[in-house]
Amino acid sequence: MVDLEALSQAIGDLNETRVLALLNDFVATNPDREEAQQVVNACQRGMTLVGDLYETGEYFVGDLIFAGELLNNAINILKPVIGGENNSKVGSIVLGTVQGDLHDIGKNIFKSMIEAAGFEAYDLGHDVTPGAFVEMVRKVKPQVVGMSGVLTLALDSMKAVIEELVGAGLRDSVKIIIGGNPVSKVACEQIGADAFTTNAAEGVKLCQGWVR
Amino acid sequence: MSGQSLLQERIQLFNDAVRMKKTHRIPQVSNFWTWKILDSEYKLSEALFDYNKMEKVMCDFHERYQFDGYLDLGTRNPVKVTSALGGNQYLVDDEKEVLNIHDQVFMEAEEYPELAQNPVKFLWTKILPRKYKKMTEAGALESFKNTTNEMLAFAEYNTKITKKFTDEYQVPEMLNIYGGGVILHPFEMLFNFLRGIKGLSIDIRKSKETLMEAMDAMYEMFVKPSVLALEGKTPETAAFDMYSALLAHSILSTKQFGEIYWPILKKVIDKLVETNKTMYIFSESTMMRFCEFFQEVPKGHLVIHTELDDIFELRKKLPNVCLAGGMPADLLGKADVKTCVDYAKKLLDELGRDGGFIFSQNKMMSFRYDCKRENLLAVSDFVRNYRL
Repeated sequence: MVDLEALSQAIGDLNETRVLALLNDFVATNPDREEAQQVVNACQRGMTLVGDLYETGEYFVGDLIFAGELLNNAINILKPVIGGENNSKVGSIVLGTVQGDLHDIGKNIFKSMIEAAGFEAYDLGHDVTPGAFVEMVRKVKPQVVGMSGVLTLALDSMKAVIEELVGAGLRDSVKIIIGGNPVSKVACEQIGADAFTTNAAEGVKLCQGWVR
Repeated sequence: MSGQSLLQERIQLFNDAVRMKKTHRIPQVSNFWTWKILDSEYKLSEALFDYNKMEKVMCDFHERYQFDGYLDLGTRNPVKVTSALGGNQYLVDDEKEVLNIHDQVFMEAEEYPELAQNPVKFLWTKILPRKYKKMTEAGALESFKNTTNEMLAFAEYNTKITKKFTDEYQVPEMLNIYGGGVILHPFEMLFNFLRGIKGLSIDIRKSKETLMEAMDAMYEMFVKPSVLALEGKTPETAAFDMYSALLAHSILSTKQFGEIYWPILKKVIDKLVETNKTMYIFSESTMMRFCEFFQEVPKGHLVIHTELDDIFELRKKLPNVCLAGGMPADLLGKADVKTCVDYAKKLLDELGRDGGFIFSQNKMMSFRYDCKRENLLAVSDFVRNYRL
């Protein structure tokens, strides 16, 4: 069995060589699903370390992007031994960059981190219409809706999504978090979201608080 | 200021501001981009693809709001030039009133050594054919000819609108095109045009050595000539000697900024100081995290136009640097006239009293709801007439 603490630390250190070596060695031992799940959990703890280092300023956006890639690579190595559906999700979130905005880097960083925290993320991509958000919320019944944007026009698009959720009678069934360059406390109140953040790690903690 | 032309007065105001001297009024710079088209009679595509219409947009905008300087004279997005060569990076949507630009990724991490060996050759032989498909198709020569003509037309518009603003409206150029001009840090070139945000973020971790070597080569080829040109004379129509835009710093930690970004930027700043010249730095995102680097710059050479920082806090951290910006798009677009003017007064009183402040908008004003015309009219009028 792999040294789980060493694996978490290697992810926290963004030491790709060490992470991949540990995981390849682990997979070569033909582990069972329970062991594999422990390794996945160790990877998730490593991402928490990354989030903590982001909050202290040691890491910044580029490091979060790299961490997301590292986690994707790690999960790909583990896929053959994880098995099918992972039913141990802590919650679900519908995500998207709102209509008129093509910037999805921030949304993708958040997606990596929220998935690492055990959420099922339904990613609608970028330039997402209000109708597409409503349709997906109706379909998967998430606890959280996350909207992202970089352009200032994103604020109006976020407001339009919430208005459509209200119109569809779905607003009260979800918590809504908005993120990205233009969001602020004032904008959050005007839009009618439950929370805002420009910090992916903080956003994950807010979502975790909602599903506890 | 008696005896001075309005152009001279404006240049003096900008120069005093960057030199951290008190000014009798605070100069104001327009940070309006595609919003000014939305404020006109034209759709985005109409103005972007027709220089006569763009000229009318610019002139009407100036006659309406009368800024002292403009970060954009309708020249930021040369859509006709890139379209002629088959580039599709600009996405103009008249219905949504948006001009979007895709993240541009045209090189692989393994190609840094080739870029370092000969940046110009690499751009011509590798990047341009990937970016502009028409360069590799039948009829490439004709496409190139059309593009050259479009480039000349764009340059002609650029010259015409600049001259019209300096001669007719007495508005200075924001930079000395014959001296320092516009410089782009090699890390910005990689971020904006070659590797994209994701690629560059990974390269910092996995290919740092070759990345740094490529940046050194790009500095020698693309930045150093502008730095050396600072030794020349500043023309009488320019407010500043050099202009630069920062965006890529937004992915770096403070430590990474010190290792990757600052060494080249410091070379530029050292030359500015040595030649007693000035530079306007337009910074997207935040700068507060990097104050420790800029604190060592001698007073009187830099303007930093900040987007997301608390400008009052930044003033405390950087008493040696002139600050620009401050007026929130949130207010211009959503609040009433009184709220906007009250906030503008607070900016002028608190940041302008001792000099070292240029009034402007915090965000690049690009979308319809970024600003209401009545708010902008009231604020620009107030700032122009307010005396400290």
